[in-house]
Amino acid sequence: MLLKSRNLFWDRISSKHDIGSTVLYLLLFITVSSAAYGAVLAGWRSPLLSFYVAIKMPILLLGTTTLVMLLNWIFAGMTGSGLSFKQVVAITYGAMGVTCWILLSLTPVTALFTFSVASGGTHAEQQLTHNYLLMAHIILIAFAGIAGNCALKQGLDKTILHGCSARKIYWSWIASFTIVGCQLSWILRPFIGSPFYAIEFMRPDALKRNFFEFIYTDVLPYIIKGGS
Amino acid sequence: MTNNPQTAWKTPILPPPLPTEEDLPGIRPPPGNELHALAGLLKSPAHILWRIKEDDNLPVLTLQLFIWGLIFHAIYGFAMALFDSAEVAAITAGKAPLITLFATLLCLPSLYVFSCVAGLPVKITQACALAGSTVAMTGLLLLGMTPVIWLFSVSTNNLSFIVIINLVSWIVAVGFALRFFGMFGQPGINDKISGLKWWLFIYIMVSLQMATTMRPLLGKPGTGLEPVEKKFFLAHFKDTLAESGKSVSAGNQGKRR
Repeated sequence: MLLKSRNLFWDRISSKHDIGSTVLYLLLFITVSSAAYGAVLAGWRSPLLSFYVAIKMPILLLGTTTLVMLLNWIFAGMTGSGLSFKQVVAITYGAMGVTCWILLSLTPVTALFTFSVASGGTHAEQQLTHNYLLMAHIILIAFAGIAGNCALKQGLDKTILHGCSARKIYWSWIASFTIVGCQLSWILRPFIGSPFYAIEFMRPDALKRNFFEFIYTDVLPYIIKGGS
Repeated sequence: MTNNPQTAWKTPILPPPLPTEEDLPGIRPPPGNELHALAGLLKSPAHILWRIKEDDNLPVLTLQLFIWGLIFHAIYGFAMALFDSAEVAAITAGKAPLITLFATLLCLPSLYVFSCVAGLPVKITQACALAGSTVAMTGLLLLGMTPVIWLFSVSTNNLSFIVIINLVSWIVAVGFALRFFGMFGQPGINDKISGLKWWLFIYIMVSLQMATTMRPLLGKPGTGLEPVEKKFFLAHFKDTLAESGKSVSAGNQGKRR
């Protein structure tokens, strides 16, 4: 229904019909599809990391949406959308479901890239492979995320009360997703698996720094200095 | 009667007439004219799209499109690899359709999902037919470019040039498939093709990686079909161009892609 009759899906959410079973189905689908994509994502490095990432991808996606759910409901309430908490949950997981449909459909494509690039060679070669894969996955996941965001906007347009601004709710939700998603992905790294680090479920310093601190102290100075 | 302002209100206001088949040329096929898939693709691509939309005997259409598309890819591959020798050309003639076939199979799930997500819900059979149309349309364009590519292949030793001209030809051919998808925007069909455009981008990336995996295409393989070194296509493309630069300066030593 989410794939082929999305208007029907939003109508069901809008009329609050059978939301509980819809959400359960979505949770199951998001878990399975993101685990499949995660398994392929880290497949180039080792089967062990592939297994770890198959566990971590559903935690990342479901964790991000679950952690911001309460905040999103409050944002929606403050703008007079008339959405119940159950509806917010269903809309959020519905949008994530669209993202996961795209990730699932791209799994054969990513499998080709993962298994046709070298996992051995010199450090420089491994770093190059890692960077190429990183770039490819960023593009694919960003694309899936954009499609999910479009679905989110569409869902809000169809379910909120007339006269309420869907745009305000949408951007406040996107902001909360971004902040929480970036930090959770930082905590749960590695995903692709840098060749310079050991294979592990989480890095030992996972809870020591944060994503935004890393961007501010490491990435920005590197870019400003022109990569030197 | 209608010219009299006092009685004009009695005249019923009728909606404009519905468009006839003549108003939508090329979308509906002429009655009783069952074009062959290939002829349809060449002369009336909208006819093929109409058949896909109406789910009109799609398994046969899909099979025809795939078979012809792959044959054309084989012919193009043969002409392209004459850059090295007839032996390599024969091997590449076998590899080129396999690259296309495997890339299409890997991209089929994403074609189905992207179409549905973009608001163009299709059945699996329709997705297969769309993929077949892409392969056939690309193959047809490549067939048209085959004499040109053959001329360059047999008359130059510059590997970089041959790699670039083949890449450009292939991307132009796939670009025509994009125009083919664009016909969905005609009145009476559907204008939600953004998902298909994105899919075509994925298809291009996958095809390039598949070609890299099944290399060499322009040179003799080592001892047959043994696995080649795993490589990302951008890295391979860069290495090929660098190697070509060296081989040009040292004669004609490095004819391998």
